[in-house]
Amino acid sequence: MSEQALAKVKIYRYNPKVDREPYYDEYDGIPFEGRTVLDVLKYVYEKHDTSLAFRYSCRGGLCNVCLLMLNGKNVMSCKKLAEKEMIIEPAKNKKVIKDLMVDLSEKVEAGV
Amino acid sequence: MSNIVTQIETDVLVVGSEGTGARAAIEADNYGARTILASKGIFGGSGVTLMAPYSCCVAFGHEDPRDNPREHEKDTIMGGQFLGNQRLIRVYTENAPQRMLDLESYGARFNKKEDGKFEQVLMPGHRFPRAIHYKFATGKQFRKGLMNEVGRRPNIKVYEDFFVLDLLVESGKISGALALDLRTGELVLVKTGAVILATGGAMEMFYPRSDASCDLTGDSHAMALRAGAQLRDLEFMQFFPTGMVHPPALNGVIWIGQLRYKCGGLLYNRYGERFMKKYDPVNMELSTRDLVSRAMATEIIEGRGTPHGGVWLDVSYLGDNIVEAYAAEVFPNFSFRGYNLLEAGVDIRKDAIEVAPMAHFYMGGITINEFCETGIEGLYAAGEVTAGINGANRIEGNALSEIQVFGAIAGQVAAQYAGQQAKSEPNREQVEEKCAALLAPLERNEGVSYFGLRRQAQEIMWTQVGLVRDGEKLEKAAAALTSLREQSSRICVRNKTRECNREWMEALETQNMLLLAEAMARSALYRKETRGAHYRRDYPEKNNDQWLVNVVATLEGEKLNINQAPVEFTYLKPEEV
Ligand SMILES: Cc1cc2nc3c(=O)[nH]c(=O)nc-3n(C[C@H](O)[C@H](O)[C@H](O)COP(=O)(O)OP(=O)(O)OC[C@H]3O[C@@H](n4cnc5c(N)ncnc54)[C@H](O)[C@@H]3O)c2cc1C
Ligand code: FES
Repeated sequence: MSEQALAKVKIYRYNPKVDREPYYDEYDGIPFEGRTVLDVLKYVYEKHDTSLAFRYSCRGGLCNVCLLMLNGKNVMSCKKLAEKEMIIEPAKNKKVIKDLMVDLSEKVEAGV
Repeated sequence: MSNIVTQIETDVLVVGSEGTGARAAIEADNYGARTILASKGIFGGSGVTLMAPYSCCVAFGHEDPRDNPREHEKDTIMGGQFLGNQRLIRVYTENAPQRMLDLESYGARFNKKEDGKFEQVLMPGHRFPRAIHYKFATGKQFRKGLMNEVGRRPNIKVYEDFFVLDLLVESGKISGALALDLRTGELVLVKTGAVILATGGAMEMFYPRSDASCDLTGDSHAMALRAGAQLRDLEFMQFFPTGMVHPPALNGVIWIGQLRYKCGGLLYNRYGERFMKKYDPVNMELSTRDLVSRAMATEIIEGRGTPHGGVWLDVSYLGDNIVEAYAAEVFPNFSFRGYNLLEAGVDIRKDAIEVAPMAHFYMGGITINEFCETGIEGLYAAGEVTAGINGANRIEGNALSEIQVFGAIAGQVAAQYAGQQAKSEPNREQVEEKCAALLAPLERNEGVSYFGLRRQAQEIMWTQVGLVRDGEKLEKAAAALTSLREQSSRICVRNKTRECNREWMEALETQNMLLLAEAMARSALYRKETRGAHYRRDYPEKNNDQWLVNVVATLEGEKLNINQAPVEFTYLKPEEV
């Protein structure tokens, strides 16, 4: 593993209370090797923008609340390995509360 | 203008929605109380109940008819090294069978034998086979049964993303609670006659060395302290010996631990030394969980750890085919619960992996009696957030059954209490004052960031208040934590948006965590002996003459007081065994 490999990430942002429509934030130079998509979100949250909204709890692939869409597919972000180019969006067919935080009251089973 | 936008009213507020909380809500509902079941996260998707893979110990005696609740009681008292509250333990072991049948009637499944009796498995610390389970996913059955049952009861209102922050007490009686609705960012006043704290452990104090959920930041411990309740046994945190620490994707993965005890895994420090020979030359890597964890932590903390702060666990000395055959059996394709070792860059056939002990279960917590009462009228607590059943150490499988027993008791007692009381009106001034404090980090334009405070505290906890302790380090740790706690009154949150503000939430969590962390460090400093999960290098022996007592913590103003309370040997005396 080379230490230098860094990812390019595009993240969906939307606060229905204030934004007229969703938009994307883009980040370059994000460490991703050996990390999950959730690790990447935590990195972006901490280093770049603490207003990013996303969910997780068990960090162990069990609770299903970290569900989101990576490059067009629903995944559990705490167990999905990060990739070099990522578009991260809210889970499919879920109402967005803010950014990646969706209403989970209709339970879905994990796809990945 | 008032800071409170929303007010709601209920009879019973249950804080924490999982194994304990959901059971409490069901029982409160049985007793006719209007009930709110609140979770900081999602109902059925927060806390650790759903993560528990296997054992739920109950003395049904289906595998061995000699077993009964009295035998279970004895094992639990001895496992806790005589610090458990024996009255609570009796209530626990006697009620556990019926509570598990309740859970079954809600729709949870357990492995059964052909004759319809429970399959019961022998676990360490128990003298009889006692663990009921459902495959390797028992906790998920708890979730299923409890969610079904709560769903059938329209008078239980589930509040998700609802972060309960503080208790309102009027002349020694609960009058309500304050919460942050995370979705809207509004502060909510919950007027209620009774509150049940069911928020589980506080393993986040040790993150990243924790295998538990991120929700467990000691909020209730701190709320209880501030409300004037007592905490006890805080020096006892149970660690799971081997969780991965690298790569980050696999941090906290603990199932890998079986490579040590089932597949001949060897442990090495950074110098390639099989260090277990210094700690247990006879049993080496197969020594007890406690000793292995302690030895690993010693190596890591004394600077002989691996690059990412673990020790090496190695099975690569075995033939590839041996490792492959073992893996095929327990984690086919080197994959478990969707975590694939090979994809994450870890090949255990060739390389050793980096592992460290992980905080796993908190024995300490809020002091309760057999009715889940805390000493403050209308305030109840149950489940992992309490102390009393597990004393100085928990034996395996006792948590899942405990939470059903005490969840139910708390629900009943709280509902009955709330039904009889005229509600006291929350004091407006107190409410506004508390709200102002909760809003301060958001309104402040400069100050400290919570990140640093949290990280520093977690590092102090792991290196100085973790598995290997001594007086000098604990003194320093306690002083450092006091200072972090002082600084935490100046936290400034950069993100000023109200909705879904994780930074604000984590800042408030950090304040709670710091208070509990300091109480834990001071409790560990107070107990000058070694017992159960508490190991003092400077007092390496167990001392029954002086230390058969519970260490208790209370808060006076901003000052933590640590004292001791006698243990009553109601049913079993140490000299009898
Ligand atoms: C990985 C793992 C495996 C385990 N395996 C076993 C096992 O096999 N057998 C066994 O007996 N025990 C096991 N345990 C222990 C056992 O699972 C727990 O002790 C038990 O499930 C705790 O239940 P609880 O309901 O008290 O807390 P939790 O299940 O942790 O629930 C806590 C709840 O409180 C909520 N909460 C926290 N703070 C707030 C707040 N401020 N406001 C609102 N809500 C809040 C959370 O969101 C959550 O809903 C295991 C623990 C872990 C970590
Ligand atoms: S955080 Fe629980 S499944 Fe991802």
